[in-house]
Amino acid sequence: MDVEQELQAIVGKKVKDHLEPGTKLVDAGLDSLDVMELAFDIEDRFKVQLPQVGAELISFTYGDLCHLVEKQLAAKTGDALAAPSGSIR
Amino acid sequence: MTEAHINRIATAVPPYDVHQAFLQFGHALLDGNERSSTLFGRMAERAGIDHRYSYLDPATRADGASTSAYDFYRRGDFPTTAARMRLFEKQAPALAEAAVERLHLGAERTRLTHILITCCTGFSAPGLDLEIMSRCRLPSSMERTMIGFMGCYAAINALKLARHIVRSEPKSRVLVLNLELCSLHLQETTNLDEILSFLIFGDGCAASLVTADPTGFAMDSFCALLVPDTPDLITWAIGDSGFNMVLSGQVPGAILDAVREKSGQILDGAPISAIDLWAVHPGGRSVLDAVERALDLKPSALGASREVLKRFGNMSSATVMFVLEAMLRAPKTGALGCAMSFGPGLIAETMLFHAATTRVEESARPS
Repeated sequence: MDVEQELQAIVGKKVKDHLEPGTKLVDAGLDSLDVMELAFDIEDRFKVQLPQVGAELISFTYGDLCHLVEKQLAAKTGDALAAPSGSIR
Repeated sequence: MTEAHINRIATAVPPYDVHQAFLQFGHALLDGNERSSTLFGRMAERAGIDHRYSYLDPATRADGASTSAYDFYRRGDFPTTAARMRLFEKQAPALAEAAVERLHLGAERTRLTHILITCCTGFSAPGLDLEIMSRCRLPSSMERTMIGFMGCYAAINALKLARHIVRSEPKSRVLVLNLELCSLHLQETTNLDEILSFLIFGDGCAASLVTADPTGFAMDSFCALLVPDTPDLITWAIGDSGFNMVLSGQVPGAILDAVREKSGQILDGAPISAIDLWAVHPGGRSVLDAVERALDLKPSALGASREVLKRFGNMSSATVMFVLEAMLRAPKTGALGCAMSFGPGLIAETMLFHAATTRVEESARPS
């Protein structure tokens, strides 16, 4: 399972519809508590620390979120080229 | 043209470390809402704050020697604004006096010509200015200016004004005080976003001496950067039960975009790599992260700001002065610096400075 699939699975717990990269999390019906939980679920699953975990994530698009996770994963391995495939940006 | 210098900075905080007690208080306000309480706990772990100080005693003592936080913030009966201001009038002068005494002015106190005070957490008249002048035996002829209710960036505004004064009257010796008792303004609410905003604030005071003497940090230039269409992101209004804050979760993102876009203006054309000292207001961990990302800084660049956040939390207008105080302890002559602070508007107030020479001052410790 690649990053996008993993993320879809995590987001899918809160949003039934498949999210397009340009869809804002707030437009998908998530509120500030939802996005905080989402951020912590992502951190727990990928063992990364996101630079944003607060309500500011609500204005992110799903694509922004994917990009953020991929960037943190790349930083974790210390090699940008090592970022898992599945980028949707 | 005369150069104005921040010669010395001293800091003080109240005696009680209330961070853990206030975290427990935040959980209690959530009234057993497990979901919100879990998120609050995780956000607290991520806040990058270990200590915050207040005059409110986190214990209840039989002798009533101090004001118990639990009596002051009694569920169902939070204090009125008047009650909070009465406590401010009692506590603020003592904290200001502690900071001023740490400047070790000695006989120099009689030569002071101006006093500038920033504060957005309490007001009265005759006010802090006269009270401090009396307590610290300062000249009664001093010119007094109160910079009120501007929020976290007021320290930069005060430095800007001090610089104008020194440049227009080079013999001026300006005492700048940044005093905030943020812990007087907790609100009774079950809203997690509001309770999270209580998670970061603490009390503190910075006292600085600004003169034409060529020691410390020379203030080179200032920039006020208004972020368009953001008036609702940070607001601070006087209510019946204390002062009410709105701190939007969109603030870090707005700061990131503005600082990234306007870095050339902030740095007056200098490259980011030319700056040795970044004194960024630690408004919260996410604010520091935003600035770090906006300017693509090394993680160590905001070390002083993160340390102040960890040790004291966000003390509104006093906070950036705590960062500058830490930097004044060990600067290298000629080092270039950029200070910045953020607040209602949304505005980023910034200052470029360079290190002349310095004197080592005491660090802040509970007074």
